[in-house]
This record gives sequence, C-alpha cells and structure tokens, in this order.
Amino acid sequence: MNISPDLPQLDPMRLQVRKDALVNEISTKPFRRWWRFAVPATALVAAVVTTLVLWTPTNPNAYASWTAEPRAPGADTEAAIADCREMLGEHHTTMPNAPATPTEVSVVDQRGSMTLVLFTGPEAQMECLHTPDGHGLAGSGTAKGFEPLGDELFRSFGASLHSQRDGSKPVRILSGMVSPKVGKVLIGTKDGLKVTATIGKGWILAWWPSREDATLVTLYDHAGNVLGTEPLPSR
Amino acid sequence: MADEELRGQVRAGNGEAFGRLFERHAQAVFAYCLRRTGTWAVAEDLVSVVFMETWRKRTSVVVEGSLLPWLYSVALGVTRNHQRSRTRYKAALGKVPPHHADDDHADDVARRVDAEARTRAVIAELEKLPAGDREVLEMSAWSDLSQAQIAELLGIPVGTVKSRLARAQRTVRGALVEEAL
Repeated sequence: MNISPDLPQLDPMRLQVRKDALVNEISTKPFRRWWRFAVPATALVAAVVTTLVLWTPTNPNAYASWTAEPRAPGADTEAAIADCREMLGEHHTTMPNAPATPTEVSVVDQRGSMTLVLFTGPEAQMECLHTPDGHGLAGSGTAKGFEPLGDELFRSFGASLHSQRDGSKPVRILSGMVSPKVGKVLIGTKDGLKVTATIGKGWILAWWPSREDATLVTLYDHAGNVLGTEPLPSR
Repeated sequence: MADEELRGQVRAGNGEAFGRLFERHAQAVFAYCLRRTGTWAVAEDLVSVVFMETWRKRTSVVVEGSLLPWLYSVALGVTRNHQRSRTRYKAALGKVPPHHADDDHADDVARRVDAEARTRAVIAELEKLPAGDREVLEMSAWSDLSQAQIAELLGIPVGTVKSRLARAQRTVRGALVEEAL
C-alpha cells in the first residue's frame, strides 16, 4: 500500500481567506480588532473569496447616521476617495494566483458620515469603508476573472456581514453588477428595510445597519418602471 | 526572508510576518492534517488551529532553523485531540452521512472526495498499527524530517524511532503483499 498518495493542494484562494482570518484574529492593533469579518468560510461561493483588511469606524455616529437613501456627494467625497486609494495602494498579498487588486472607482455611496467606495477590476472588487475617524477594506475576487453580465440585469454574490468583535453594530454591505438598462435598485432585507443602492459604471453599492441579509432586489428602469425582481444569495 | 528572521518579528507581535510564515507552510500542514484525518474540511480547520497554537506560544517556544518541524509537532497534537474527540462521539458521528462540499464546483468536489477516499483507505490500514509505530511511520512518510528530528518532536530516543519505523514498515509491506494477492 502506498501510504503517501498524491493529494491536491488547498486552493490558494481558500488559503488566503484562512490567512486573512488568522492575521485579523491575532492582530493586536485596536482598529483591526474593532470589527470582525463574520461570513462563515463555508458560505463562500467557490472561486470567490473575501479578503479583508479589517477596520471600521470608531465613530458611533457613522452607524447611527445611516439613511435608506444615499446622499449626494459632498465636500468630503474627494478626500474620502483619496484616503481609500492610499489604503488600497498599501494592500498587497504574496499569495500565488491572488486576484489583481482593483483600481477603478466605480461607485461612491454616502449615507450619514459613512462613505463607501467600490473599486472594481477584471478579477476583483474592493469596498473601502470611510468615516472621519478611520477606514478599512473588504473585498472579493477570483483569479479566473469576473464573467461579463451579458443579458442579465443584475448579479451579486450576496451581502457580506461585519460587526464589532462582540457582535454588536452589525453591518451588511452589498455590491453587485448591474445592466445599463437599470436606473434604480431597491434592496429588501429580512427585517423589512428598503435600501436604495447607489449605481455607477455598471455596479451597485449599499450598506445597512443590520445583521439581517438582503432577500430581494427590485430593479427599475430609468423612467421608474419596474423591470423585475431578483432573489439574492444568502452569505 | 528566512523562517528565523520572520519568527523574530513574530515574537515581537508582527501579524504580517506571521501571515508570511502561514503562506510558506500552510500547504504542508494541510497535507499532513488531511492524511491524518481523511477529511478535507476538518484538515482545513485544523490548519488554522495549528497556526493559532503556534502564535499563542510564539514567545515561550524557541525553535531553531525551519519552523516546519515545530508545526508538524503541533499538527500531531491537534490531530490526536481531534481523533480522541471523534472516537468519543464515534457512535453519533457514524450516523452522519459523509460531508460533501455542495457549495463548490463539481470538479472541486470530485477532487476532494477522491482525495478523502484515498486518505481514508490509508488511515484504515494504518489504524492496525500500534499508535506509537503509526505516528513514527506517518511522520517519516509525510514530512521531510530526519529521524533525529522525529525523535526530538515525539520525545523518544532515535533508536526507538528506528525500531518503530522498521516494525511499522514490515506491517505495511505485509498489507501490500495481501493487496497484491
């Protein structure tokens, strides 16, 4: 009997997820401990992983100042994007086959004092969370590259869940690809929230202050007519 | 950067350096855990446990040279603990159908199931060996450690490693002959 049969290696993406979770867990820096990545590894879609440089706001107002409708860009928008760009530049991985870090700003979603910036690229997307007190990155990607949307109106891998270490102040973040035919996206959550997403360059972005997942999106055309509804995958 | 240099940074609490050690050695630890447990998902979890334990002891344990021998010794411990708890709950676990990674692509599922089937066949054969012989044989076959290193991490004399290894190899060769017949 050959007691050492050949075994496949652990997928580099899975390894990256494990590494990020481990490094986050052991980190002693308070800003990394403040919030934690809470999506179970088993819930991740194959070949789509989430990498995370954790942080989130130390300002409780960022959580409390949330609104269901995004606000228009303000005087703080450009500075937030610049901070996010700087942080993205510092993000790197030495893992083989890791998706290329995205660089294009596709969506800027602002609610209260929180600014979310969605960076997109052919292989990955990253969300930068920014408040006056700090910022952090969350993201997902696949080295195989994203499949084009084609005839679909909307595609998302589901809303990621973040919270403080003790589980308080949970936040869901939803991003996804959307057709140019869509003028408005309304997200419905399990606990009854109706959240209007921000749209830009074929992507949507939104967050809401709840542990509850999104269940359905309603898609409207640019004239305000309903194009259809899409169920959302649970994460 | 060598393991020793990274470990110096890890001892000082540098998480990024620890991440680099993880990237360097996680595949080897995973393969060892998979061969010991026969279950992909369990092996993946145990890799995290091994590295968490390594981080926890970063200031109290001094390792010279490569970190890998130390990681194997921790992996041996955590897989032993896993097997003990599994034995304890074997009756209940026996009623649970084998796990299939149904959230994954078909190719990956087939790859994993195949790897699990192969490792479980090996485990079934190795379970016939006395525990001490088995651990020496596994460590010798599944790591690049020398007999002296195995002796050190198992806390036994090199002579005992040699005698256990010879006995275990004779038994496994016997299984090979039976298989051929």
